[in-house]
Amino acid sequence: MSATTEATKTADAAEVHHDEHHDHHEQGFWRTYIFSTDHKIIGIQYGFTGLAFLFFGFCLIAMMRWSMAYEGAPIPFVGPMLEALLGSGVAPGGVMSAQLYNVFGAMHGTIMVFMGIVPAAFAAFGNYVVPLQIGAVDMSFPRINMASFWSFFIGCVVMTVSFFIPGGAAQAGWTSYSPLATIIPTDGQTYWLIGMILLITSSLLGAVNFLVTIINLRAPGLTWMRLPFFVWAQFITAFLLLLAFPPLEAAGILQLMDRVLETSFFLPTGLVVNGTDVDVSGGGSPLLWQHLFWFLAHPEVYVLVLPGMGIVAEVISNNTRKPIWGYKYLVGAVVVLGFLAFIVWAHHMYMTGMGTVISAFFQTTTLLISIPSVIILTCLFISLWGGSIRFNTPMLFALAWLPMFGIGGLTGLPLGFNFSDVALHDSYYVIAHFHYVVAPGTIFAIFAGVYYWYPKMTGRIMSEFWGRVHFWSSLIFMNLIFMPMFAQGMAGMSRRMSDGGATYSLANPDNADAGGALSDTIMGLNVSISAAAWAMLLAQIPFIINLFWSVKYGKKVESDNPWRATTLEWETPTPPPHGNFTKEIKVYRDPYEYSVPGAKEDFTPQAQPSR
Amino acid sequence: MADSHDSPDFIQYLIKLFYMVGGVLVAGTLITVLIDVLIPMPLVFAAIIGLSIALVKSCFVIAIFMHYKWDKKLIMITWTMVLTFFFFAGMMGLIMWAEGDIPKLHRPELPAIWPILASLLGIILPASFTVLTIKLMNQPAVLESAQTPKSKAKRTTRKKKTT
Amino acid sequence: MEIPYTVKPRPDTGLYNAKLGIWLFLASEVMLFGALFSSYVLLRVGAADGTWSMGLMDVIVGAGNTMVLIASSMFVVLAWAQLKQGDLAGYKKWKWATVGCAVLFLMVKWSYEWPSKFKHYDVWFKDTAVLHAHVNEGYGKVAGTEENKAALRDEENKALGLPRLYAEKKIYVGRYFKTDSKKSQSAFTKAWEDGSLALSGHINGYEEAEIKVEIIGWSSDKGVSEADADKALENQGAKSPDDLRKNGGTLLEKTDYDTAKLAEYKLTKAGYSLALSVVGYQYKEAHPYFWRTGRVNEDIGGKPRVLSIDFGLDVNSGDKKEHHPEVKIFTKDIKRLNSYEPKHSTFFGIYYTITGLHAAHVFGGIIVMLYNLLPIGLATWHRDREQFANRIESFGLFWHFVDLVWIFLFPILYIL
Repeated sequence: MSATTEATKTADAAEVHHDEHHDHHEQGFWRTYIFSTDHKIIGIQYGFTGLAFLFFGFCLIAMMRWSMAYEGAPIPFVGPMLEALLGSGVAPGGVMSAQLYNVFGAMHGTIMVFMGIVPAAFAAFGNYVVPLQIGAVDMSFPRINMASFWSFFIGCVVMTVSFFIPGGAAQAGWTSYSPLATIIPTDGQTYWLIGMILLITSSLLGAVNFLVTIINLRAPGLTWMRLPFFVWAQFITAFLLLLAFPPLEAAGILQLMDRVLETSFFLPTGLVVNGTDVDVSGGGSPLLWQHLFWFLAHPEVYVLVLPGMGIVAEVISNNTRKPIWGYKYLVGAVVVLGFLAFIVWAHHMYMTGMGTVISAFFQTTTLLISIPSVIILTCLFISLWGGSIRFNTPMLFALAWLPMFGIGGLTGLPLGFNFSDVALHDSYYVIAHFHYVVAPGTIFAIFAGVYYWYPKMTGRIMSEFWGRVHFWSSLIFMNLIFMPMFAQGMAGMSRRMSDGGATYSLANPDNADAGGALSDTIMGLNVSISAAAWAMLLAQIPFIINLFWSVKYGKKVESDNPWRATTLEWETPTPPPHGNFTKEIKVYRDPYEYSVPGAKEDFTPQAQPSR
Repeated sequence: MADSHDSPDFIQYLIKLFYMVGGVLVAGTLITVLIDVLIPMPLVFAAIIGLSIALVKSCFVIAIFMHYKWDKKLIMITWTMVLTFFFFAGMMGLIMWAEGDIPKLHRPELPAIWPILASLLGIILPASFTVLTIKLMNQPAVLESAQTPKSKAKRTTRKKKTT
Repeated sequence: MEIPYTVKPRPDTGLYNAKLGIWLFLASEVMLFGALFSSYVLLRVGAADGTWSMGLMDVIVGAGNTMVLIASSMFVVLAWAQLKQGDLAGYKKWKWATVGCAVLFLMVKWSYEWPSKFKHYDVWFKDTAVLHAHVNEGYGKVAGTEENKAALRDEENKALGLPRLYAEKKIYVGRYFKTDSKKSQSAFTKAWEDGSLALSGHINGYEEAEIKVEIIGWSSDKGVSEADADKALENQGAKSPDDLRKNGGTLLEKTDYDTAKLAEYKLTKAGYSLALSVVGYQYKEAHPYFWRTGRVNEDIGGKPRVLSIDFGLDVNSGDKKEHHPEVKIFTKDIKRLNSYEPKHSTFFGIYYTITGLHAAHVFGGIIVMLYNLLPIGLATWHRDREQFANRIESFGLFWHFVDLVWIFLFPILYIL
């Protein structure tokens, strides 16, 4: 029987269209703003949650920095609150104990990476902007998108709740190395693992969504090489998340089994804890955890960095009124970067006793991966040449990103060589390096993105004055925080010391004859760094106020395209309605047609048929 | 899939193939068990034989059950599969290599050629991928209105008008 | 607003959204199971000789389950083929068959394979001499079997001295080596000599402590009033609670462990301090699940909770009356006791993890299949046939992946 007759028979049924996406006439508050499947709402949800956790994670380190600068002294204002909330066991008299320091340290890392940057840079901007920039009506799987956000949210809840359980949250570092993470008797690590599994699930669902959207929902005429670089960056990031996260999910399951069911995946034979033999079978490998963890965690750092690169490219092109220089090089570089990201991970493990042969392999790939990064940075730098630069707030952040990311990237080189890593591993040099790429790196890019796309989301522009205040204070304090850390690291100061290194300092009488003890200058930097950190925290307040205040009182935009940009997201009404575009979108040209000789205006939107 | 795969003849042909593959899979399982039960052999041989049979079975499942034989031309799927298997192999291989390459007191110092070869491998892999990427990037752009190549069959009237 | 290419494939990529999405999802699943496979390989290669269990899986049952999953894989794609021909009834038939196979697979795994392991035990001893004594006693009972008689004629076994050792060696070698080679022989000899051999079998019965519960005193520290405290005592069977609370005394003369522990828990909450002591042991015939070292050794007033276990060894004695030779093991001699649960060894850990995750995927698949068979999912068929067929095709891809994982798991876990 042919299918056609069946088709005609059921044609009537088809008339009654009840695709869920159509029934938006009577959606209540909950379906519209809370359990929404609209990518824009979901993007904003991710954005708020991500920014909130970035701030929370920053508060954690602000408290830790007090302990580093003034060990043993009660934390002002906050100390009594800590004691009240978490008990005198960990915060006696408002003083941060070493255990609490470890808890805050582990959670600072986890929160900033998984609950701060990934949702803010990848999920928030990606969800909001990518479908708009490719001319799509929504993501390809809106309900999965919603599931992804709520899975993320519940993961965040689990992580946050873990602070308040007996014993506190995870304290074995964001890296959760076994055997330590397995043998800690309190439940914080278990909550961490469960939270991670939820967060990973969210990212996996999100990654599938992004990939299918970008591959299949591009508007007519939008070929691969006409995609805005931001979309390319998100595309590669999604691939990294898709393929790199599952091994950590597997490792998390194994560590969870080690903790809950007392298996020995990561526990070696003959493990002795506090003088007693641990009653497990043994036979496991702690290094296995490290391999599986870093197999994700290295691509993860590119997940943190790539969306920022994309945002910066958009902002720079728009505010130089020039196309990005070397679009093809940028695309090629970001694709190769994605590939290489998977085969460099063991440079985090140079100190685990790996032999010279395998170290040589990873050293080579690690050094090679700096090449695409340099290409991207160079292209963006060259893009400034001959540009007619508009120094608005997003551009300031994007411009600052360039040298800041450059410093971060270049300081990674000594860490990539295993002979120099021997001296620098697990020191403050590493902290300075990765914070430079992520903090004045990606976070500045996030700020740039917020200021840049705010007019599209709200129809108003954030206060330019307070934007500049935010920018200059953040830039100065950021460097005051992290630049000295290079010196501290090279002097030998180790990471994760709650007393800020006092045990190893010259001031400690035990170290009088010890060569290599930390000098007073180096120790003194702890105070200035901490002060800069608190100033940095305060410097975010104008930004937060600006963000909320401008929704109601910011200067209204005069058109749908206040920045006079070429990419498709500016073709929508402001703010974009459900369905995004009110006219049919067809793409006729490359993404950055600014200042084309002979054109009527200094920019030609992608969707415009003729110049 | 609204292409040549809608024709009833093709579906009938597929159904026959499905039964055949089912038979192949059952046979493969039986062979694996029989070889294991009847022939004592060292672990390495058993591993090679058992995993080879499993590999053959999986090729049938992917090609016929998962329709990949006809979907090969869809480069998105092919690329995804290729990259995934490459990274899976890389993950397993590099972890095993790292665990194996641990200096021991009784192991003699390896000649310098080995780190050099390892470095070369570290260069060749990204270099080949870069070359591939450049080739892909230089291919002419495919507009979304283009038909997939080699699709000659008529579209069956399965169009549904939903507004 | 309709999302394009939900049903019709996009011409240049040739894919509709869900198909692309499911392939990408499968890529992530390959990495997930791949990481577990990599862990398996690493743990196995890193295991010392004679420490990685083999031969503990029932190959026939595993092969049967493999056939079941293969059949389901075939059925699911036949269901799709029926759908492409517009035959809803045919689709339902084959899809229900798939569900049936999936349920059968899970039932075999979860109600036969796994539970039978949870009451199978390995026992390690503190003292080599005790181990040897038990082996002699236990396997001495199989001395008369044909196998052992043949073994005694074998010169090498004669040199080892004891026919009952042949049974234990056979078990050990069969469990940790693919073939009976020189390497396996020397591994066995080493394990025998240093006492690291485990006895394997079932717990047929055990002597569990009978406990006396005494009230030492009471304080109002827990914030419980005297009246409530008396009530608590009454609930535990005290005749004159007031007297007991003030002067102390015996609450329960002789009771089983669970009752005693419950009383201890409840009364401690009510502010009492108690002393538990062992007054005797009672034999219980049972095949317990999930026992571990701590359970048998648990200290109650200086004595163990379990005094001894009657342990049925793994070899068949050939005697109808005594099916498996039994030895009485005193728990004071036990270094480690563990059932075949994840904690037992890294082999079992990875076995349960990987098959458990796989089974979870089978279970998830059953849920989705049910959705697509019940009216709630079939509504899509009546609305848009091609979309429904696509949905089934996408699910089929997932199901085949689940089958693919098992195709590799079966030889790796059962055969190798």
